[in-house]
Amino acid sequence: MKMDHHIGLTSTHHGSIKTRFTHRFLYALKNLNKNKKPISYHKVKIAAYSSMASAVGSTRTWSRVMLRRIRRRQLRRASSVIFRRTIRRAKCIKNNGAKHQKNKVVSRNDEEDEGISKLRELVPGGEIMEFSSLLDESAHYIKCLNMQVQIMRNIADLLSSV
Amino acid sequence: MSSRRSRSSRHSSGARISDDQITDLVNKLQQLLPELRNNRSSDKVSPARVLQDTCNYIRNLHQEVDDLSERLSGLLETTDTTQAALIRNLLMQ
Repeated sequence: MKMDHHIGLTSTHHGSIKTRFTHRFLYALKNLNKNKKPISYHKVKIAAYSSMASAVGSTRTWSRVMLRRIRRRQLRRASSVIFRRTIRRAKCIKNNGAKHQKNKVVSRNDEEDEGISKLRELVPGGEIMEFSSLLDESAHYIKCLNMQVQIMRNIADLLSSV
Repeated sequence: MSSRRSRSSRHSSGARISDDQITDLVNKLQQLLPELRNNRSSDKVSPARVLQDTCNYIRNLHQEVDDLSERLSGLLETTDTTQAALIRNLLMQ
């Protein structure tokens, strides 16, 4: 089944995401370091998340949504007018998606419903996903976050040992 | 009758997927959670618990990214680019 293939990242596939993330993140850090300005924690965080999302590419909903959010944030800085329009449109899509989902979920208890709605908030794009995709994408997102944390920790340890 | 059957079959192949597949996905999610991973009798963990723990775990990971970003931003200010290049080479090996 297609889903099995997606959820169980093969070692090579996972390895390549890891390599791509490391490359992108280090490159981003190097660029941040080039500017003589002080490096804010926020910039490092954005660099990490966008490196991870672009390493994954557009095959996943969460990575597509994450990249879109980051670009939107950059737009906000560039032009507040464009930003407002984008946000309004995005909100429309988001609300429709959530409404659509609510009708679908029928036979689950309150605890599960609570867990599902929390998960929708935590996984980028979760609001617009159908339940099975939400589970699938959550698993993938967790694997990638784990990898991201591991690499960030390695880099920090190396930097502090220099 | 026939229209009802075709509707239900479209459901199972399209938007709706079977309970078994959902259970399978929940089990896979459970294997990724440190607290529930080593639970041998996997059927004893309720889906609600798996969902709850998944949320908590994602929150923890987000927090770790925040902490590490803070740590890295501090470290980068005290490291020059040649050192960063050295580390880059080390990591790429």
